[in-house]
Amino acid sequence: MADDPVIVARGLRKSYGRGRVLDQLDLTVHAGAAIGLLGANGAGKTTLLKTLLGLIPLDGGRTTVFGQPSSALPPEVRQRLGYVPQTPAQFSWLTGRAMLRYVSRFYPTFDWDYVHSLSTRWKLSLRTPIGVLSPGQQQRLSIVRALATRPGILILDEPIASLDPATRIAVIDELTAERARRPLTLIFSSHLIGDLERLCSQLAVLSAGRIAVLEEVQWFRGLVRARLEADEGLLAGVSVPSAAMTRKSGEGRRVVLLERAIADRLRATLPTSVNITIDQPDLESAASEWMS
Amino acid sequence: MKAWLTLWGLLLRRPVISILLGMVYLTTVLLIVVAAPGKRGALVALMSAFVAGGLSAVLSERIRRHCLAAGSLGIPGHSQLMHRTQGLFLILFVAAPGVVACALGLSPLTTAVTLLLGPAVGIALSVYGLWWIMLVPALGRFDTHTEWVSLPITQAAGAAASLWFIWRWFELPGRSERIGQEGPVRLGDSRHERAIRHSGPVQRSNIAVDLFDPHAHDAVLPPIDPNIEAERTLPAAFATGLGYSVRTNWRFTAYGTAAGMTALIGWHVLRGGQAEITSYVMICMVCGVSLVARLQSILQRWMRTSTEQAILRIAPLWPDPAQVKRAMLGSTLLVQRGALAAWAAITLCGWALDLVSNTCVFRAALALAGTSLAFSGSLWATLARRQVREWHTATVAIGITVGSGALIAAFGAPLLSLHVALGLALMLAAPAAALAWYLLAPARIPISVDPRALSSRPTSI
Repeated sequence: MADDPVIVARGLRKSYGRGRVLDQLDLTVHAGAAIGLLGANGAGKTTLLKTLLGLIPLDGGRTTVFGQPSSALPPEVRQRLGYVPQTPAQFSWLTGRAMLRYVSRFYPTFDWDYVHSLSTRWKLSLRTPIGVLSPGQQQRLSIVRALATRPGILILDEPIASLDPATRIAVIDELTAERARRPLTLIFSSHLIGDLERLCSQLAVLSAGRIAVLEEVQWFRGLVRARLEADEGLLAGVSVPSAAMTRKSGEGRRVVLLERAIADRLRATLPTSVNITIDQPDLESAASEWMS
Repeated sequence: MKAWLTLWGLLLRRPVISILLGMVYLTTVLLIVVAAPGKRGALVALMSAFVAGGLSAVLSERIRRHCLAAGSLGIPGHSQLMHRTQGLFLILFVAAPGVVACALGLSPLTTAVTLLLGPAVGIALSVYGLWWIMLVPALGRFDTHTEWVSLPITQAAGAAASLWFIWRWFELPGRSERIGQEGPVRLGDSRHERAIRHSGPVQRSNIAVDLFDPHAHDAVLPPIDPNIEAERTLPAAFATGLGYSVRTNWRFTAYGTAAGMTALIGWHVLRGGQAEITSYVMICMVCGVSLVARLQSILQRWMRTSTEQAILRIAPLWPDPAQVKRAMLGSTLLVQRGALAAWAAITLCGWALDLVSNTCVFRAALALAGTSLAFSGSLWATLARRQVREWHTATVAIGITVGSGALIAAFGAPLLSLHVALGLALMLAAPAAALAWYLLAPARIPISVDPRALSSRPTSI
């Protein structure tokens, strides 16, 4: 079933020292979804992805992958997981080929034909020690490693930050093609919204330790931004219940993201003493409003 | 302030150094209390010279490594900061003890030569290699006529030579930075790929070791492609994946053993009598340092490879926690084989030739066992928990407990006395607790005790 949840997180809590990174976070990822994960630096994207994989202990809450708790995933579930960490320099003491050979021994379904195909197309030298590859090449190798295990769920933590534009597009195209070829659920953390827009069907914004919004990309595109300016006392009484997001941008100022039709109605109903300007933000600006 | 932070980060923040410093200073204080008033100045100077020698060797190595990186990255003002750090080191570990020694009655010239010789030797060992140790037996020829050491002209010459060495030491940061600038820039871009292909690929960091359990691998990993150089045991497989080695280089061990025996016999020929204990102690120290280096390499690699561990941890054929623990225990034993075998062979040779006494062998065995237990215990404690603070605390606690136990046992007499039993019990208690903790605690993989996080502040200046 395409709509079956493959990853479920409920009430996740995680702190580092006094700083709470995840705070009662809930997330449901359905089979076949491609979710772009956005968030400010230090918002907890990497922590969230690692907790989903059971790589770091939680302070509270629970996560399941294919119905199994992340903290004790059985081999048949791990078989279906792929992970590209944020740090590109992995196994830097081995050559690319030695690393892939080593990793392949832990995966019965490791696909060497796919490795050869990708390494040729992406011009990857597998005979070079990983430690002396450029970060971009290391990152490509990491993606090849993850894809060659033929995962059902692929979690990528800022995998394309080090790549040149041509390779970024090649990676995105390959992931898109993979999704077309076989069922593949993607969680893709990145700051490059343009790439997420090309690859993902949904965007999630992580803010204040929670998923502030998780919606289709089209939904984000349909939002308009209303800037309200008035006396603070007057603005405090204005409520926009249908708004996707409201934030205070200064004394007597509000920024509201909402659908076009609701924005028009809002303009008509607001008192004349409230100055309202409406514009159409691009996807990056719209998503960034949740991170501000 | 920056120099202080840098010195702290490069040197003093390391738990091993803290433990050793604490033990040396504690011993010094105890010796000062019991020593005759006239000897106290010399005692302070001598002990401080040992400290300065050891620390300067470590500091030189770390300065060289950091300056290579700084040169490669082009960090401005880095060598000046290192100069200030070196100056601060000399003030703290040479000048300050010198003032104390002079205040306790030692002559300024003797103080100067003693305290300058320590760091000079440390720097020489670190910068010019361990071949200096080969000169140690030759000292025996002169040591029988000790009056030449107390001649003012000899002391002045020794102090001047040491000063010159220390002066040259200040060129180390600049020289290393220049080498870093000229060397290949790692992680720059892809253009260097073709160039480094000539140097030959790094295929693997490990070769099969089947002494531990030749069949363990088959139970865990699938059959290996015959074209792949594979690891036949789980400890060796971990070692490949995490970038260390559990292999013992037996040829190197044999060379080291032969060199040690030569030094022991050479010292005896030059000096005669039982004074060869000095060379035996030094040989034991080299074995201990080798043992610690191998254990530390495992610890450091486990602490620095959380990303690789994360990748492997989610692999379907990643072994279960019990197997991982067994393999880690096996690794800690495997890496100590070479040093222990070399020590045993040298000791057997010395004992058979009546070059070392039974007591001396017993104390050396205690020292080596203590070193092995302390550092193995620290490793197990780190793998049991993954908090940096706990790693520090556990390391310091285990080091102090084992060290105290070894001292009590070493100086207990007769051999089967309560002192010795108590000392041995104390030596075993903390590592046994760490081992039990490791075996009982849930497996912590990936561990995230990354020492780079500790050193990031001072070294990122």
